[in-house]
Order: sequence, then structure tokens, then C-alpha cells
Amino acid sequence: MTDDRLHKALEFANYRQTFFNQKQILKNKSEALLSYSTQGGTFKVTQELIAFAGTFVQQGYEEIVLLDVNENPIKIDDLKSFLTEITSRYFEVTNDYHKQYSEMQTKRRTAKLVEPA
Amino acid sequence: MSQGIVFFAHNNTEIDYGSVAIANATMIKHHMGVDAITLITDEGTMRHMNNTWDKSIIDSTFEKIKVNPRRRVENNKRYRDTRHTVNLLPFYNINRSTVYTESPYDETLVIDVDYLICNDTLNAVWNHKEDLLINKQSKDLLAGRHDYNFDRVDDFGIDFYWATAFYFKKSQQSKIFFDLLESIKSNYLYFKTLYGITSYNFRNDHAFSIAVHMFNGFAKSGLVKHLPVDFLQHTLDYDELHDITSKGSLSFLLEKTSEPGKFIPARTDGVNVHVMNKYSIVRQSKKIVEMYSA
Repeated sequence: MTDDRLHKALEFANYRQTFFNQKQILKNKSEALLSYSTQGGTFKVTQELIAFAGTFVQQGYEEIVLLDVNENPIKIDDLKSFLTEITSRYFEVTNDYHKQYSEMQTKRRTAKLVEPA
Repeated sequence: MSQGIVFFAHNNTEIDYGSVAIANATMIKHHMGVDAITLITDEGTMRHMNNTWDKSIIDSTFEKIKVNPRRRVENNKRYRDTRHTVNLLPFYNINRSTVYTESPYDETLVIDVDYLICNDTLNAVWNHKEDLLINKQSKDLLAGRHDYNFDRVDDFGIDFYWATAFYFKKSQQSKIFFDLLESIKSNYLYFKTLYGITSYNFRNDHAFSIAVHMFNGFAKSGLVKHLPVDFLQHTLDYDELHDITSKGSLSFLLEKTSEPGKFIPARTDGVNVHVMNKYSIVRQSKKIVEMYSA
């Protein structure tokens, strides 16, 4: 292998490491933002929570007791508005994650990956 | 119920914690929209702040400043400015347990000045059902790098909790917790031996970890709950906060695990980061204040 090839391989390894790291930063950021607090409780906004709340909204329930991340029972007084809030939080965060990840994929140089938007 | 944030800042011969506190407070005001920020400090740090910053900046940054006498204590810590510089310097951190009585707020969020706030997720603590919230997990900003010293206080010891950011509500329960913390601090040699802690200096994270363990009924029971976002994020003192490119956007140089002394770049947008290289925050503090004041 010539020096040039080795140099290119090392450069690419650097790029891959930076790419992977930036992806992890985005993933952790999304995880942190997918948290919703109401009435003294905190909920992790997941597809399951949205589907669960949605099921009971469809059945006409107006209030419900849910276990939060600390397994405390939290009474949700307005289930419909809770569902709207968590759904909008979910799409806001995942759409932002998608946008930033897609932008990252178009960047082919290490320096570009960490350039300010 | 009054709500607010409390900072502790005590300079040593090299680290200007006062400037870091001002910088982080301006970030908090912008990102969290919280103006109720109290600084607990000492005369020397206050004098240096007055010499370094305009009075108008200091006054507009903090709602209250409490200047307490500084006790003479022997507690030194290694401060690194990447792998290239290391200094053993005094570390004044013995007054954290007094926050229960010192805080002017009914609900208090205590944040280390080096935990740079770039989003509003911590606002979710206000009006929480729990009296005390503290995290035991912190993720390294460099993927794949993991320091096992941050999992437990000792290889066979209790879980490690981060005193970097915690929330409490004034109540009978939290008073007992902070009294216990005070007692642990006063008898630290005994407790650190009991819990197998081998580091020679006093560390709030360790004192809090012991207190949480005792509060949990001497078990891993999870009675003490975590903050709404159950993990912090950090960079090590081998890394560098390289630049602040815009509000909430931090650029870092993170030391490669495979090549000590060499770095990969990283950038965060809207992420709270506990920056352990204090030197690098001090270097950026003026820029932060100017940027956020503009």
C-alpha cells in the first residue's frame, strides 16, 4: 500500500469516527428532548405512549391515570390535549433529527460535519 | 412557590469560577428563560469578579449574590487543560450541603457552573411531585468512551450520583437529606472508608452518592428519582471546549481513546454539556457573555 493510500484510509477513518460521533450526539439530543412533563410527572414520549393515549382518546375517555418515568401515577385531566402535546413533541423532535441527519449525510469531509449550520 | 437556580463559585489561583458563573448564567437566562439565579460565593471571588466585569453585567446576571466567609480547608484536585497541562489546585466545594438553608427559593435547581446550559429541558423540574431529583447517569460526548469511575464510587461500591445538577423542594424530607449530607461531610473520613472510596479529596458527587444510598434505605431501591431527562452529558478534562459559534452551539475537540493527545472535532446544538476542562470555559467566558448580551 502506498503512503497516499494509507493517508486516505486514515483520513476516511477520521471522517467515519466524527460522523458516528455526531450521529450519537444527535441521537442523545433527541432522546433528551423526547421527554414531556405535566402535572408533576415526566413522560418519555414514545410510539407506545402515543398509541396508548390515542386508543383511549378514540374510545371517548377524557381523563386517565398514567405511570410516569418514575412509576408515579399521574392523573391526566385532559387526555386529548395530552395526546396532542406528546404527538407534536414527537414529530418536532424526530423531524429535526431527520433533517440534521440528512444534512450530515451530504457532507463528505470531517470539517464539514462539524461546521456551524 | 418561588423557583430559582443556585450557583456556587469559588475561584482558586488559576480557575476563574466567577467568570464561568456569569457566562453560564447568561446562557441560562436565554435558553431557560429563568432570571431568578442566585450566586453563592466568597469575598475573594467577588472582588475578582468586580475587577473583571462591569457592575452592570454582574447586577443584571444575578438576582442575588451571597458572599460568605471562606473557610481554610485542604482539598486539592488535579485540573487538566487537555493532556498537555495538569495542575494540582485548591478546590473549594465544601459548602454545597448548605444549599438547603442558603437557597432563597422554595424550589431550587442547583447547577454546577461548568454544566453549560443550551436548552430548556431542565425547566421540567418546576412543580415536580418529587422533593429531590438527581441523576446517576452521564453520557460522554465522545461515543464509545466510558469512564467506569462514573458508574460506581468504587469497583465494588454503590452507584455514583452526579451533584452537577440536582433539584430540591424545601420540605421535611429534603431537609433530612441535606442534614444527612452535612453529617457525611463532617465525618467524611469515616464514610469514605466505609464506602471504600479511595480518592483522597472530598468530592460532592461521592458525598451525594453516599447520602442517596442511605436515603434509599441502604439499598439500590430507586426511592430517590432522577431529573426529567435521566442523563447528563459531559466532556472530560482531556477535551477542549474549542469555540462557541452561535447561541447554544458548542464546538469541542474530543480526545481520541485510541490516540491520547489527538482529537476529533465535535459540535453540539442545543445540548447541555458538563465541560470538565474548566480552563477552556474560562477562555470562552468573555465571548459567551458578549454573544448572549448582544
